[in-house]
Amino acid sequence: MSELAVATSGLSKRYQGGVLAVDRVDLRVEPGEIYALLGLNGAGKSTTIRMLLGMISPTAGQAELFGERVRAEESGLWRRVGHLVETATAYPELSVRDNLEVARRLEGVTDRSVVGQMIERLSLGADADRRAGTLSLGNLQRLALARALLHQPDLLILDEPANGLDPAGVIEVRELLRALAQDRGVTVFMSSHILAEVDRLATRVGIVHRGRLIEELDSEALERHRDPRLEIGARDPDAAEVALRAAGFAPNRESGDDGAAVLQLRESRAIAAPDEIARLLVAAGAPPTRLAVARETLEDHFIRLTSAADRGAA
Amino acid sequence: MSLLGAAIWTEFLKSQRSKVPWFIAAGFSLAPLVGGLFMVILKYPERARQLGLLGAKAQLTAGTADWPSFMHLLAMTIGAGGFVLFAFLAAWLFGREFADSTVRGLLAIPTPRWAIVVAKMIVLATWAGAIAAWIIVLGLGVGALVGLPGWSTSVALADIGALAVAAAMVIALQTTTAFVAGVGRGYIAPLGWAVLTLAVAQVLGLLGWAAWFPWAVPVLIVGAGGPGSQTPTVASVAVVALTAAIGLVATVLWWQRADQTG
Repeated sequence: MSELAVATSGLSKRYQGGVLAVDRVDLRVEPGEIYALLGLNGAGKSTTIRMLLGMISPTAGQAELFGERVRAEESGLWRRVGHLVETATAYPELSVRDNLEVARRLEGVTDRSVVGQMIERLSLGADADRRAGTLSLGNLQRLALARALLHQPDLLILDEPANGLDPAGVIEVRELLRALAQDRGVTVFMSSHILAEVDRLATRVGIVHRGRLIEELDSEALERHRDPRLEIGARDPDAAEVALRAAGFAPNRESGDDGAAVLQLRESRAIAAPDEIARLLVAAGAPPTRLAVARETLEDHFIRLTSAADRGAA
Repeated sequence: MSLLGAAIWTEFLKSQRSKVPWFIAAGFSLAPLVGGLFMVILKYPERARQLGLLGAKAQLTAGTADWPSFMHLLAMTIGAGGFVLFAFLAAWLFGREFADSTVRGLLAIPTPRWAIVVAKMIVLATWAGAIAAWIIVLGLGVGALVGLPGWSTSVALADIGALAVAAAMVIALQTTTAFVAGVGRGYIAPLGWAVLTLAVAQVLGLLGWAAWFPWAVPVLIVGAGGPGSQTPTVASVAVVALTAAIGLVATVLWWQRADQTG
């Protein structure tokens, strides 16, 4: 596992009281990847991240970063790792600059100019001498990201990096992380529940649910798994459904945004030839008012997958 | 700069920018100032009544206005009051990291966790030592200003020496408060711990076991244990040193080993 930026094998955590927060998670993240851990609240994302950072000891399995086993008492390894765990925090009585100066010294960075560089890079110049306790949530997040990046780590472990940022800030951070991965080969391991953001940024996605890693998708698989479907609107949806079933299809009935019934077909012959479906419906006296091939979003896929896992567990 | 040096620097910066140590110093300063006021009232009761410092029917019969009484008050301030006031310092230095969740920034960094704990202890000892020294100097100044009778240089030097030893013991025992601040993940548990140890010290003092209870020993050292109290022995000092050492080791181990979920 020595070539991998992040590797876990059978990583598990059972808290006192019996709650199994993380259950036999195996992760392998190559250097330069942007890996996103997706999951609902309480799925085990933060516990996994804390175990990767040596803040929580696993009850079974182990985690390695750059081939080195993560241990609580290990400190040399952290020269290569920047992190942001859960909500951004800072010393409220210290200014933005002082908070970064504290981080610079504790990270063992000798170059004093990095503090100014980080303030500029994270657009914190206007607030550099303000006390951190008076910062907005978004700027506090920027400060936390600046601290994570300060020592130019090879691996960034970020828990909800877009938390509290406004839309412009989200784009700015996304571009920053993408540039770090592309230009410097920095590995980004992040957790998020903002699926659209993950969809835009991640090169690989791991979906965790109830402590288990239930699916991993690389960029190709992400595309492949976005299950296409043919959506059909009709003035008489009942008649349309009957006609489709008579033709051997299995329409799924959903409500559209306007509340009107939408029939969905997932059969490949329907998706490949919507004109045939139109002809069929016209012939049956239930002409379509709308025909569209739609692709499943990551959000839809995530909900479908976690719901299926819940049904399987029930 | 070494990583331990960096940790010490950052802890001093944080304490310097915070109001907490200054409030603790100000709170502590009230003791010799109020003590001085009582001495003035005891010395000049009629004048105090005229100035409205003493109610017409009030009587201040306890104590006499002289140096031994005043030094006894300073001894109680440091030997007993120090446990609560220095606990505020320990609670702030250690407990705030958990209460504000800033501890997350101290765990996965090149500076080892033991260095963070040791740096905090050094800053705690420096601040508490400075405050204790300030109380002694302020007390001597107030006593001189009031013009208390009964001064003896040799006795005063012995008293100051005992006060310094008691202050060192109270400060050393804050390692246990630091441990409780970690386990309790905040401010409340360490302050509760300080009150608890002080209460137990009182009870054990009455039962005649004070010389064996670390939190009661400083008061015995300064001779403020009251009439019939035990005399501290070498074993008493050893118990204090051992407890302080256990507190330090336990704090380091807890920071290194315990799951940090805050």
